[in-house]
Amino acid sequence: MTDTLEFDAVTKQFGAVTALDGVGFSVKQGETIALLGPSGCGKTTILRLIAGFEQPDAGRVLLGGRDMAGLRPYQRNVGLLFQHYALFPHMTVAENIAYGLRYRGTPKAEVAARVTEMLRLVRLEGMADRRPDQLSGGQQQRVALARAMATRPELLLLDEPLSALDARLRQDLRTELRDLLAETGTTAIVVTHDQEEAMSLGQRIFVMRAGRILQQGIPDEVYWQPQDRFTAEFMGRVNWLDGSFVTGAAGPVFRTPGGWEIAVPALPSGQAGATELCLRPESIEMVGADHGIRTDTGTMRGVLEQTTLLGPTRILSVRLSDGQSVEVAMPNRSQAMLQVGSFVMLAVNGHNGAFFGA
Amino acid sequence: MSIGSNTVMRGAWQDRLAGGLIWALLGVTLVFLLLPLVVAVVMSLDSRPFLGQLPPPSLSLQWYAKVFTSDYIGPSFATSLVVALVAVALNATAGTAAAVAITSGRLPGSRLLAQLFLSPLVVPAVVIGFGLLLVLARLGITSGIGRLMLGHIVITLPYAIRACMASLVGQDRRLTEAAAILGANEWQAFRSVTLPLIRTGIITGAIFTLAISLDDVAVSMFLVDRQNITLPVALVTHMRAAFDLTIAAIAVMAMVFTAFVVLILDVTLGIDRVIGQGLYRSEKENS
Amino acid sequence: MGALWLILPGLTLICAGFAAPLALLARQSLDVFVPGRIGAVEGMGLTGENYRQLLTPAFLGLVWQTLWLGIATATVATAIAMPMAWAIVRRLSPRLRSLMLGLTFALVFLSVLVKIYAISMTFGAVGPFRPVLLALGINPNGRGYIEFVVAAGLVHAALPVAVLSLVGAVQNLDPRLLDAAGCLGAPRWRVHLDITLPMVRPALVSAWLIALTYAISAFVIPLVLGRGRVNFVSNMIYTRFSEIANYPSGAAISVVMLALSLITILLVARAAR
Repeated sequence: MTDTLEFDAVTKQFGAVTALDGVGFSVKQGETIALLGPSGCGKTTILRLIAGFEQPDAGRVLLGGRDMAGLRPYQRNVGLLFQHYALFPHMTVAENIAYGLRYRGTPKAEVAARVTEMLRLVRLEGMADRRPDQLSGGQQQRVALARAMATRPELLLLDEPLSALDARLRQDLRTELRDLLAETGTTAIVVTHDQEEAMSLGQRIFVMRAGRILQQGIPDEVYWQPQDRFTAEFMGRVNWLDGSFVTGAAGPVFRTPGGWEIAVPALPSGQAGATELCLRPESIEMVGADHGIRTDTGTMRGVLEQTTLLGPTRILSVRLSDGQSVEVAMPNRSQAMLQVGSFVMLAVNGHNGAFFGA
Repeated sequence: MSIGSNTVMRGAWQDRLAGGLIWALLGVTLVFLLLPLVVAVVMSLDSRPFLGQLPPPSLSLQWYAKVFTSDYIGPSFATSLVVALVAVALNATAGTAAAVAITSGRLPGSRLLAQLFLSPLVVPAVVIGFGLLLVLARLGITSGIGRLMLGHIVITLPYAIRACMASLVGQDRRLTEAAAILGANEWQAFRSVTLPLIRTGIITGAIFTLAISLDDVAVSMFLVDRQNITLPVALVTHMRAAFDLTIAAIAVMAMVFTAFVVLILDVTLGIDRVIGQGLYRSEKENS
Repeated sequence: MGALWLILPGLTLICAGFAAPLALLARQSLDVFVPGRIGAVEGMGLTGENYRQLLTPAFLGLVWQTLWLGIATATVATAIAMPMAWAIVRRLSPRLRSLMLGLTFALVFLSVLVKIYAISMTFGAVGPFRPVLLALGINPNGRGYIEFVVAAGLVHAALPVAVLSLVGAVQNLDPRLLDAAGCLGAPRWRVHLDITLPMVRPALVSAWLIALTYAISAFVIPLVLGRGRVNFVSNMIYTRFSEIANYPSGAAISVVMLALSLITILLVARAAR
């Protein structure tokens, strides 16, 4: 089976700026992938190349196995959800949704049926005759989605689909959007700068920076095993521990200058000179106040310097006795009995860590 | 809603004096603006067959009747109307097309082009009229209604293009992209999305075109011939020749028509929008 | 590609109807005048004679008349328009306000010919001011009075436009600034001088400039209201065409007039910066 979309060494320049630098990837049918990166990383350019608003300077874009070179946007069967929706202000909700069908010669009765179906799908029954300016932000987003999906495109592109909504609504619509894409079996590419959005929507994530794809993989892989610092930092909070990898009594361990040892699954093979262990704050657990118990592998001690409450989790900043500082995430279940300045004991799970060279 | 009045302590009497003077000035100005119009209305109803002292002893509609029996008003008004409508049609098509091209961002030197299209605004209409006369004479075109049409298009096209550009610039580029990705080609996207959204701009341009064309003297004076005389040129000739209160009747009809148009504009488009799109930077006409 | 085709019809119109005439005017202003001919006579060469002939007290007087009447009317119109715009935006009830705006708007669109005719009647021999004039000993056919009537026509035409353009500027003015100054103890006239005027200065300059360019290129207003006694430069261009058919001289005057309005615009624009 051919891939729905294939990017073959695509390069795109805008003047002196290289927006895409030999990017290659493919998207399988029915899959949702997330293009994640900061603004200016080239993710929107990928979208515009697929839509046909731009043409590649080198390389090929294949949709359903066909080379798209020279095809105008209206000659491609691609759906696009714009960042600020770009709903036609002078048309009703129904007219907006029916717009794409108009130019495909769909019979009238079928258009009406499809509009009804789409309205039901995005749960906007009864809104057919409203104008876009009479809708809330979330409703507008769903109309835009219905409009983009009404033509049953081969591929649906979503440009920052939730960024224009407030935080609460964003979470609700995220789940809704994911279910909708799964239910309809739509092949989709979500462009976003929000790693939570990428992880919750994308079955695979492509992390982008400066016109290149740095890493691609399933969300867990990209989150726990970032292959470079940028990805590690971009995906969420992270601790960098200095030290060295050695074989201890019970197997491979990571040893900090202060003598703490953390068990790791294996010594870094590819990266011979690795001297850094990258740990998410969730990999470190606060065990309790330090009572001076003997230290085992997998434990560290330090002084609690600061706590930050983030709702469901609490971030603790701990200064280890060897001078390094780590962040610890703990569920916000109890009132922390800890005073800033007190000594704490930490339990570290090194099996989810990633290695980095100097 | 007097601003800051409760805080004024010092200089209160100066304020009252200045305020009074200004209100008085505004009153005088209002009288200055409206009194002539009232005088014209009264005179148009004069029952005397000659120009007599105001107020007229009795009222009659005789001058209005004469408007319809006059031998020059009908034909010249027809000429004016044809010229104005041709200008409106050409501005709405060629002008809109040019505005779309300039704002599309796909044309090199579009800023310079925009300036070229707006530059007739800063050139006195008499100069344009005389220059056109010379060019047409050199081409051997010394008569015909086409000369008037060209002249009127040149002086009105900038207004139409400016109004159109104003509404195009405010439009979200992504709307046409959305139309394209949904399957509409360039022309279909223009028809179904761009055109409905710049309608106000095109209508504003058409109104300016109509108003300027129907009122132009400076350009038309050079381009009229015996068969093709516009109403304003005919009126100016008669105004200078002899006082004839038929003109007062026409003037009153023009006032009523203008008031009517403004009323319709206010109801349909809203005056604020029309003001915002076409008027700010220059005067209405150059006659 | 597509954009080029779109702009082509408009561009053709502007080139044929605007650029070509200006170019030909410049060229023809250097031709030798041969009575009864339009266009250059072969082999006569170029001459500056048409411009040299303009250096007469009569023509310079005409330029001066145009300029000073233009400046005077533009200044009066702007000076009245400012408090008027202020009153419309800030002091009137919403109903009166939209009424006044509608009225101003209608006056902008009202035919200039109608205004001129109405003014010539009002200030003419049978108008309501005739007794006043006679009582004051003013000659209605005197040059000074005719100049006044021409100026009245120019102000009448330019004032509504100025008001509308200043209304926008006053609307954009934050009233809290004035309140702030008022709270600091300044009387209202000082507040206006210190805060309102500097803030609307760009709008004032542009309103003044619009009125000025309108006035100095006015044609039909001096033509009718000037009664042949008060003329502007524009009227002389027409006379060169209609009465003595001296095209090269008309072209030279056109060039001078174009230069006059462009220089005015540039000077004011520079001064405003």
